[in-house]
Amino acid sequence: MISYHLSEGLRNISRNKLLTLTAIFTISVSMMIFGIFLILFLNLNLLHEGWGERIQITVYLKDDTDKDGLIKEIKKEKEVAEVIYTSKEKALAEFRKELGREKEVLDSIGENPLPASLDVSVKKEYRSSEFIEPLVETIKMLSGVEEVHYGEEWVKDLTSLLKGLRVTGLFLGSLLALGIIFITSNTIRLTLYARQEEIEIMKFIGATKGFIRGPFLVEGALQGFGAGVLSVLLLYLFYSIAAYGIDFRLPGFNPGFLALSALIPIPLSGFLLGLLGSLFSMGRFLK
Amino acid sequence: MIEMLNVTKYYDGNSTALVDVNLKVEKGEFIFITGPSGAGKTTLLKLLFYAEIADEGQILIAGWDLYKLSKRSIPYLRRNIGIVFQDFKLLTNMTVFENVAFAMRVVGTPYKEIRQKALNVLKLAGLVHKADDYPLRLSGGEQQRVAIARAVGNEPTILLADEPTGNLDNRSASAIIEIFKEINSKGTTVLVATHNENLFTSSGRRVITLDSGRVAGEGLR
Repeated sequence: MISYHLSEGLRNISRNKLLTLTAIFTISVSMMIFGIFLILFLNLNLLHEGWGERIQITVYLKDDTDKDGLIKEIKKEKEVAEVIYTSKEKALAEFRKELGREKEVLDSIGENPLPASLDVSVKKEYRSSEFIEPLVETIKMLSGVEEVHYGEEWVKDLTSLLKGLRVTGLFLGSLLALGIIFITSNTIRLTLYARQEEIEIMKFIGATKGFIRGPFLVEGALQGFGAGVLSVLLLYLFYSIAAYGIDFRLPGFNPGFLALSALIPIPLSGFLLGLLGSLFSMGRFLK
Repeated sequence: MIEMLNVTKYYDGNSTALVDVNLKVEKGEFIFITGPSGAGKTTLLKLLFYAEIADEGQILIAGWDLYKLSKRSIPYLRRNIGIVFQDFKLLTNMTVFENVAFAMRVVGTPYKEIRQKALNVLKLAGLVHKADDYPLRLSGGEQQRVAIARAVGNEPTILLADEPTGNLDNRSASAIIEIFKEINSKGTTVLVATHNENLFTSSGRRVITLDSGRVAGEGLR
């Protein structure tokens, strides 16, 4: 029985090559849009993590502060990974190096104007604004602290961007899934119209609904699966082209492609959505 | 084998297709249903194979009470009933043999048995030599014989034919009736709906006349 459904389903496809190819292509485009979105999301996450490593809170100290006591205090906070001390002298030396030829300006001042500072790095899991902001507030309250700086604006921006993308992805994904169901069900409906007479005869002969349905389910599922495979191939092609361009503009950033565990579900979901689409179109036909 | 009790069928709410029809057909009988166009012949047959559903009354057929029939059971009811249409309803992209074999495959006949069974019914219809032809290359009479072969391929207990000779000349028509007689002689109950009186005049068969949806007469002819 299964071999009958399979061979009939394949026969449907070969009888309507152009229609099937159009459907596969249209479905694969919608899947690709979703794939592009996933890759974008993945890479923004990678970027977030990469930049996160550079998130550092710089704590400027008042003169004559007990730095060891302060470091101890700061290290007590669970978010803190590491604290590095930069003395007034070291800060000046570094500044001199940066100034290069203009360093005479400093000599004319005489006294060292730069404060000592602590560079506080944050543990990976706490690198978002919701953790960093309260930490900064706590540090500001400690005695001996003059000022605290951190890249507050973009930490907030990137965190909320990623949150927004997650919601958009969910929305876009469900919309595209509906689209795919719609496309398959329409394609199958055209096949059904073409074979209306055959279906009517099958009903009169005493074919069960399952028997009539089988080949069309096979057709829809194979369409979705084929579209899934095609979209993965197209995605990889576009990704390679884009990654080549990014390499020039953001040296040091390695763009990532979807992992196998994210790729396999694409043709699989195509298979399921195709199955659903053909089920929908037949619901009305088989009454 | 078939029993209709006070069956009424409405179309579009109020126009009636059949009114209070009572009919009893014994196992192995061969009856004709006649009457002018629009008398309700087709509706009566459609009710029997559940293509239409009666609005009132009770229909018993081949051991099934159609009032209690579940949707899932429809295919199994139809496997007991062979149906022959005026327009043959053959699949034109399949050969004669494939048309007959297809009906057997639909009901799950094992592949090994299909070939022999299909050849047997084609023999009955006198079409073994046309087994590999496509329906559109056959005459109307031949096409109808293919349809009959298909209808009896699964050995139904009842054969329903709706104007089976409507598109055929007299010679082909009597050939069709001969095949029906042959099928009937093997025990199959046969109901033929026709407006062509030549088919049953002096046949000795029971004839039921419908007029405006009512049974207007019944008797041996």
